[in-house]
Amino acid sequence: MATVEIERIAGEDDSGLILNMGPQHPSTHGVLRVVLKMDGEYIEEAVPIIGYLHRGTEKIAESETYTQILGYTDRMDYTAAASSNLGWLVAVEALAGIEVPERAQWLRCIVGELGRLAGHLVWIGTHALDIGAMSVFLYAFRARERVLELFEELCGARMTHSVMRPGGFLEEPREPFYEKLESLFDYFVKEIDQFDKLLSKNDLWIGRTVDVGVITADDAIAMGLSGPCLRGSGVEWDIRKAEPYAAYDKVEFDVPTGTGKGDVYSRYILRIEEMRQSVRIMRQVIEHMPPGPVMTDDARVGRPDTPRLYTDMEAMINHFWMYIHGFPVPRGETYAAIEAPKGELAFYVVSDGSGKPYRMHVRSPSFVNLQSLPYLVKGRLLADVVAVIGSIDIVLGEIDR
Amino acid sequence: MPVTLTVDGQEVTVPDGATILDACRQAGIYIPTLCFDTFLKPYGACRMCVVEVERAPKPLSSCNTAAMDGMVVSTKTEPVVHAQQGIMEMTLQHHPLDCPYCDKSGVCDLQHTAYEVGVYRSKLGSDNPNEPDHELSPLIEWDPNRCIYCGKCVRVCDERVGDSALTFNLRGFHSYIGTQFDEPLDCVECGECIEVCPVGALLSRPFMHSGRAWQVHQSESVCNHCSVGCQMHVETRMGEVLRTKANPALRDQTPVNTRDRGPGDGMLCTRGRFGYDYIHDDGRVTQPLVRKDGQLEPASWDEALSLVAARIAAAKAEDGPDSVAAITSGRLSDEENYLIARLMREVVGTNNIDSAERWTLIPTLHALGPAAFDFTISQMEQMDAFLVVGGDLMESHDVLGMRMRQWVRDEGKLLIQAGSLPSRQDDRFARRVLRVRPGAEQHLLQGLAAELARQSADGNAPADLRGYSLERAAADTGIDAAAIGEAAAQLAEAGNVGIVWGLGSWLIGGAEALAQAAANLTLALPQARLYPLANKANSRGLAQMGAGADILPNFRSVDDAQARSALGRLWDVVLPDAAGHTLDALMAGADVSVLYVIGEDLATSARNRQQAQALLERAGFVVVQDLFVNATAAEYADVVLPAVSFAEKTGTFTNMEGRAQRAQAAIPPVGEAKPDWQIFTELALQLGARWAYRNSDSVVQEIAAVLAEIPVTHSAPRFAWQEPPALPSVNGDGKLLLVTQDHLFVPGVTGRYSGNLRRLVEAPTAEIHPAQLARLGIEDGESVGIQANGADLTVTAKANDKLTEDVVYLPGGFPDAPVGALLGAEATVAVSVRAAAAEPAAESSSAMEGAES
Repeated sequence: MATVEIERIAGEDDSGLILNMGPQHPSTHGVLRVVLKMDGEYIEEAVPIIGYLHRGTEKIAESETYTQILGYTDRMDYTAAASSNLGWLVAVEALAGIEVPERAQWLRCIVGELGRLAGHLVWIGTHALDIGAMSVFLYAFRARERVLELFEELCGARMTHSVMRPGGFLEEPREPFYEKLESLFDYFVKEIDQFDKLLSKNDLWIGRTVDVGVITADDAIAMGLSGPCLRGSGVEWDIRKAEPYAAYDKVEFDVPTGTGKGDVYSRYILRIEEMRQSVRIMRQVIEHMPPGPVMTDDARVGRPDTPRLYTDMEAMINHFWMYIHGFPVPRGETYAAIEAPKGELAFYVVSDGSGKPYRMHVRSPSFVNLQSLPYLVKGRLLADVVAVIGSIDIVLGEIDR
Repeated sequence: MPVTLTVDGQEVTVPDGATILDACRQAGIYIPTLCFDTFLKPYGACRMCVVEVERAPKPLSSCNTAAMDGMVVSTKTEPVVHAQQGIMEMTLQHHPLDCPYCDKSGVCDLQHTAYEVGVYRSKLGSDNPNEPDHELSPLIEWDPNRCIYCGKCVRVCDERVGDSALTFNLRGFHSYIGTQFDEPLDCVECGECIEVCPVGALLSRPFMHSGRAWQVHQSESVCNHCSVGCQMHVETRMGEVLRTKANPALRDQTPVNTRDRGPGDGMLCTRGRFGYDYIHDDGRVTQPLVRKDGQLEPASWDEALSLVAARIAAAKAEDGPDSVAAITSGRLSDEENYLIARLMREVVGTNNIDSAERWTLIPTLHALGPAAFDFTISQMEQMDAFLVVGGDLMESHDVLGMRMRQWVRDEGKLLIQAGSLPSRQDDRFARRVLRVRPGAEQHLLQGLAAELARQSADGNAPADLRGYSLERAAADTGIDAAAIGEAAAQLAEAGNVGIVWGLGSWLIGGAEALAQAAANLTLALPQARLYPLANKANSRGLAQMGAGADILPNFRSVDDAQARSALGRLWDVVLPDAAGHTLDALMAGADVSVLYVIGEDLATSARNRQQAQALLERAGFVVVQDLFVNATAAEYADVVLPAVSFAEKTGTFTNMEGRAQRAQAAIPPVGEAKPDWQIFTELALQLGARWAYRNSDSVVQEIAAVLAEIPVTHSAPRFAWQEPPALPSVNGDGKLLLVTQDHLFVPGVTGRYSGNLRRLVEAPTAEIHPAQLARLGIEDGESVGIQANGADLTVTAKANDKLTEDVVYLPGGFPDAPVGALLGAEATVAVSVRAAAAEPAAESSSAMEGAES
């Protein structure tokens, strides 16, 4: 495939310079490889070549229980593992008809938005670094460290945490989590403001981003773009509003569309605003979250309390059967989407009635959004490629799966 | 008359005699069960399967309530669910919290049922007695704490195996599973009880704690220990065989399961269930060995194979193709037997390909024709009476023996057991036991034939049959004439008789005569059918693939010019027309430059071992292809090629019925060993052939083409009157008649390396009647020397009062007591037996006579 594409752009007369970028290039955000046909410093054509991180997640999923697959979703968008987890759970719970308790729904908003914050902080750091703003990278990763510490507080793991489970949460977060979270809201806002001040009015930044990698709203829709890549062109589309999941229908937040010009700057500025909205959502959750259990009382799905496992035969015997064979999911299929930091993340699941999916397919936002790269960089300078890649915000774990 | 009833609003039609449970499962409605098993009679012990039936005063157990027309059944009503949950809670109250380390966890019926009926929280608390585990036998462990008293093990042992070794001891809360009065376990150790146990109460000791249900990988396979061909699963983890078990698909608990349950009816015997551990025995030869300065040294495949190829080519060039000979084995798959036959015929250019089947299956084939091997076990099941001749089926074809027990017991069929050894069918299943003198089985059949011919009013039976008589048979077999006469009357009454004999070691030397006698009996008993049971897993396949000096594929004769030319066309070669050296001819002194021994331990297991050893000495170059460095390899081999077990290769095995079944490779080969078909192919390529087999499938396709090209030609069995030979007599000369047969726990050249099976019989014993022992002045348990044909074996004596007084029973298969050494060319051998402490050799017999007087 890759060879065919390269031969195609090289043309029959083999004229022009073919430049290979990646897959070990620091500015391709992982193992993306882009083959560029150059005309001087200008790009005539670009072909993204993917597959260097393919792990067969979808195939593996067919031999794992619905709960076990959760751990594989962590490794897709690892910068915002919480969103991948949530997407999977929304699909499984819809198919299995699992009721998630109210408190868990609210708590999922916190975890989801912390994931978005973590994802966007990685994005701003690397994006700025690609373009040449070194200090933003340091500040962003420092702030991200605070988010990861919150995850650590929540469940012990920092990046690939799988803290949510089918039916809610494994357990109620331990004591200092909520206090620590609340205490960091102001810090996050201050940090976000700092990125804004460092970059938004910066001449160099504006020069590198404004009117670079422009896509119109119609083209963006036609290409199936979603998330910031779509909203940057002025389309106000957010699945949290359109098809609310968790408790997003009970909180107020805005859907920023940046400058609406569909350029790198617009996608940048709207993500900055999205981080502020994330903090706003979390503040509301802390305020309004109802008390109650965080795990469904359906014992076929939920895990019994740990102490009972050691004393109660009924608890142990169910725990074993459920964890070995998975809870049976009724025969059928579903497609469920959430608004991940990078766009519409959806899972298509087919069940044959057993405890393991018959088929699992991931509609990952990075995969779809990356398809706009050749369009965005065509006729632009070579240096713009890194700016555009950064602004699409891809993560290869999600593209290759 | 089918019955129509309503289950949960769904109309279901089931055959008459079906239960409510059958109807529910047919409708796809889940009913929890614990004590139910499709193979066993409904028991109604666990009460999990209760349902509500309209107009019935209380919930009924569905597994043992017949479905009736117009019944209205509800399975999910509140009282039903409440009852099921209550029963489950009470069952779990006494169940230990062992899931984390219980072998059954993950495939446990109790776990599954508890999850399905929905008990999630204990109301009764936990109250487990915490009793210690109990070793029922070296292979079977019973954990009293986990037992739920469903009685499946007790019932399977009674209804399916027929040993009735297990029972409920005591009653109520004190009840436990065990042997009657806690006697030591006395059974065939088949482990069916382990297989049916719904929880982890009965466990396989060799397998215990070696792998969790969710870690193991299962491969479909076929048992390799005898020719019944029981289908099984091989459980593996990370390239290691953990255990073998009956194919669960055959035991699927759907009552209207019309699937063919295979030759084994979903069962396995001791060998099948426990005899797998030789695969990972430390003694496996894992790389080629080449003899250098008298020592077998490790070598590369390249070196070993090119040496073999060079020696074969040299022998062919110097002494002609007939100076090369191969001995194959019924343990190899169809593909492999086909390839070695092709290698010898096409590449080497000789018919010198033979096997130990020369002594049992091939003479039977010659006497009866291929049609005799064309039967099915389900057809055998239709017979009204069975005359089992010779070796005990429970030793040689255990699962078939168990199935025969079911036919006899459940359907009241007649079983006459005729042999020179006591059998496991004698006490409870055989209606008549005819204990013949060793080697006199054919005399008995001829006597029966003569008697039946005499009685037959129409006189259709050939007059020749009357050349023998009941009285002569009585004299020759040592059985009371009246008993033979009564047996003949019973057989005549049944008419529909299956004459069954295993082609095992007991038959060596008398196979053709016995087959002839059996064929003659069918003349006097026209409705009788013959069931010669092939011995090894692929004995029949070996013959069908033409791996014999005088047979081509599909049992065609080498003299058959038409078959030869058809095969030659397919192989693109002119096939040699001179008959090859049979194994007997080789041993009798044919000149051999290169001897290629595959899967057979000639030096210990051959009949007439002295000749076999002489042959190995005489052969200029000996190649042994086996899993182990057996005696043949250690003493005589110039090259040892490491082959693999059934679990490491894919291949088909043709069972006694002619059913070709595929064994799937479960693990990669151990060490550098290679599947036999691959070794043959590589050798053929080195010898200049243009073979292009990539896997066993490509061989199968070719075999299919070959078999279609040269079909079986059915010739009617030839009936010939043969005067039964005179038998050696041992009256008062201090000698005993040697009897041997296959031993259930020592199945031949691979199974003898199974530590699991060897745990059941540590050392070979010579069984002698206690009166005879006393006469010989030997104590029970004393070591004795047995001499015949210049060989002298030392084994432990064991008193067995079920034997006749003039015999000594020495089971076959033990490498440390090779019976083959004692067997000469004759069918019956008189051996001298003495205490090992006594002086050996020539004087011993007179010394013993002295002791006797």
